[in-house]
Amino acid sequence: MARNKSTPPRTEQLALSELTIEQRQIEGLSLSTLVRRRFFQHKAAVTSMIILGIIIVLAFTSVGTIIGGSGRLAADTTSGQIILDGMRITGWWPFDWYHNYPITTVGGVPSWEHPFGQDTLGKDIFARVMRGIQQSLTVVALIGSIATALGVVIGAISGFFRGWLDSLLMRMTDVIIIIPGLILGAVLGRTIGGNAISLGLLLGLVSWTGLARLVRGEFLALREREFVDAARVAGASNARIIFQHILPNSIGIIVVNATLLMSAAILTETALSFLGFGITAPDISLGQIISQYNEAFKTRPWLFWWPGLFIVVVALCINFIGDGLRDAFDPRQRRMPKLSSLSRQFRELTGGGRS
Amino acid sequence: MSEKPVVIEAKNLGVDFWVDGEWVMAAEDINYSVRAGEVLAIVGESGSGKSASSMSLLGLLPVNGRALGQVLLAGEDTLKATPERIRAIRGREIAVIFQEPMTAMNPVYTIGFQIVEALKVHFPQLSRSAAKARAIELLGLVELPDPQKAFDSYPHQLSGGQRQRAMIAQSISCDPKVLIADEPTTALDVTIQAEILDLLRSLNERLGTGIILITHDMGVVADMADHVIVMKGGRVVESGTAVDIYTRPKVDYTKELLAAVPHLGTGAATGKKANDHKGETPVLSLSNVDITYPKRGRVPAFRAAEDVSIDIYPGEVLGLVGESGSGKTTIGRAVVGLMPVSAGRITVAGQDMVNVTAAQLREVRRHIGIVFQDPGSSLNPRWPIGESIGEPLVLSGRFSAQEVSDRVAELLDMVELPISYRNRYPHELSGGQRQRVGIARALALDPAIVVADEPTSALDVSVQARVLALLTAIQKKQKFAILFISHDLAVIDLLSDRIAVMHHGKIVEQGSTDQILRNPQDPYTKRLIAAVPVPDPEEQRKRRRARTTT
Repeated sequence: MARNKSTPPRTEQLALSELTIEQRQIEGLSLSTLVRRRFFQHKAAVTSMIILGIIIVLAFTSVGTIIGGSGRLAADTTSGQIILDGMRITGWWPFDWYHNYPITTVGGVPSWEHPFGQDTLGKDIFARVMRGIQQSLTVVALIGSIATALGVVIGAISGFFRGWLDSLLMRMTDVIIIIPGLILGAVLGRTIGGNAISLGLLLGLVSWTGLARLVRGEFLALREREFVDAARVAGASNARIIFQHILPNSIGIIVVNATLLMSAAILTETALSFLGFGITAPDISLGQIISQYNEAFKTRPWLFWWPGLFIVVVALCINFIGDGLRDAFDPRQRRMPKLSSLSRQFRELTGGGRS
Repeated sequence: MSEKPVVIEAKNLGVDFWVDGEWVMAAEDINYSVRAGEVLAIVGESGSGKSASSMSLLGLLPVNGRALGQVLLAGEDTLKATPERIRAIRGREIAVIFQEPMTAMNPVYTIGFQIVEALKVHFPQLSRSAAKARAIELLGLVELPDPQKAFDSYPHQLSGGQRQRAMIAQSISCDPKVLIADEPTTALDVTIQAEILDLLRSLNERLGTGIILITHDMGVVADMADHVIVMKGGRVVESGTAVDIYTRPKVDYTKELLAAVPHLGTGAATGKKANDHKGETPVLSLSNVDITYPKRGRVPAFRAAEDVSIDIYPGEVLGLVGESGSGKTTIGRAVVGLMPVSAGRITVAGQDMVNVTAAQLREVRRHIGIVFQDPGSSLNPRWPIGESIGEPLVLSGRFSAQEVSDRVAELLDMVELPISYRNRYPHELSGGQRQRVGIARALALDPAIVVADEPTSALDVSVQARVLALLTAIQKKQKFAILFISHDLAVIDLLSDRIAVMHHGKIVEQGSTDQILRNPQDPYTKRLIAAVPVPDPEEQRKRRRARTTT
């Protein structure tokens, strides 16, 4: 369309704006743009993302964090105080997760000073829960990303190329499947020290097997579809066919599996800590808090409720985000589940009864 | 002729669907009656309500559907029957032959098991051995070559035509009074289609079953039907005896449907002469090509094509015709480099395809486009169609994002789709629209040759006519060559300058369209031509007689 340099008269201006609306409609959108748009229309997923973001920011800024170090308690050479080994970044919360403070209320009931309460030794539960969230989220993020990436790539290569490569990769998978993850985590967790990053890396390296099998199955079926031939005739490379053509079609199974994996990761970490192998005292994780205080359930329930609540909220957020991603990649899933659609279904049922 | 008893009668039959908060009419005011031994054909495009209204007879509507009116099966209203009663009617009184026997039969049970199951449900007193004997008798009745072997076969072990025969055997197992055949031959080749229709006809005469035949193809029903109902948009637009409908159609829509059936030898191709291409280099050349599927596990190697030689010159349309399994699709896939060749030479646009490097292959693919058979499967379901069309352009790496976007708009315009469709997904389009998208993608890079692999066999006859007209118009304008692969001679007749006939992996005959269609030499070509349905009851009857006597 030829543009007039001088300001067009009013009518033409109107026509111009109408035209741009029309043009905007026919502007070609790439897959990623469409997926992003649909994801941000998914209210539950966006809300979950915001909540998860708030939790992460809260957990890391409040009590600060610690980088490197052995995770053991040591005496500070200058002040002589007992501190945790490693580079300490402090936050805005006045209490630490490893110090004992004087108990301010009877039995350590939550108060303004210690909103989540204190335990019998006077440890601040808010600080402990925040540090626990940091550790558990680190483990979950590492397991989730490493296992998903490995599972998808190995499964995709196996299913797409088949032949000897497939046999080799699947036998390798078999070997990993027979290693019990919990025992491996326990043995290696003890030798490489109980920190969240090494634990996450380790568990991530052994928990990709199920996903690899599922992705391989999907790829075996999808690679025979005609759109793969069509892409090949168009000149697409193998990498493009795998990642741009087939992967979006198997995203449903990947997302469902990845969210399950991440929820399971919280539990694995909890189990290891409970056995005393994963993240060990004086450092803390959500699972460890629960296992440590399991005898105080009746007398000091706040020791339970807060870590438990955060485990549930984090797991729910991850699942909703996964749900949103799955829906965004599936073009058939157009409408969001709404109350109005439920009432419509109800009317449908009653209307059906009339005939 | 004495009046036979009416077996089923529909009075003011209607079907509604609950969509987005209101009842949407799918069919309305349908009245018909079928007498024993009669065939009623219901003809209409997809979405005309022909299937929905027939399925409502059996209470097989989806949960959001409801049926109105009255259906009398020997005096009993099936629409008001209890679920127990309707279950007893299904299979026993009214049986159905579905369109796609591969999906309608359970792949994990043998054919025999499924027939015995149907028998045992309705005749619980029947012993297992008696049921088996009856099943084998039925399989013989539908003219399966080896009933005992078919009894023990799984659906995937039979060919398409054999599966449909087994399906028919199952549906007639309880001697139903009414047989609903829902597009029974749409998924089959022309020659097999003719055989299945002959079988239905003879069963109908022998058993005295009333048949309701649902189809979109006026050619199919010409010799089958006694009465014809033409439906459009859920309403009956015309009804009458077959002879009346075919010779004196009153409504424009019926005339349109009749015209959409490709007539062999009456198409625009008549009188067209194959040009002399001496001195020109062919854009596609196959010489003595063999293609073998390698041995895999216990499956022995299979030679799909043998000693095939074809030349296609620039701007020429070559029709490659043959039954399924004749190797024609294999040839198409070898031409675009999706199948390795075991012997011989293929040259596309001057590039030898046998010893081709990956880089050369990428280069030569800019000159080839391919339109696949099933547009539902050949477009990536997770990609907006604009992306699918633009992919060859993006991959060629010679265009900026803006140029790709403009070209996609231009291509959509060329195949007569609104440009706003570019952001839609394949499932939001109809079959015909999807195939237009497939054509647009094939033409994206202005190819010198387009391989069209049965591009219209998945479409309704009327939609097929429109897509073919579009393809011809674009081809006339842009002058690319087409290798048109089809099992339907009538379709090939509309388009092609030359025809090659393939049978069991070999080219049995090759020549100009006129030569092949007016003066076929090979007996297989003759058989193929005789099987093409013609929308004329008299002509069809003559042909069937010729078929059965030979």
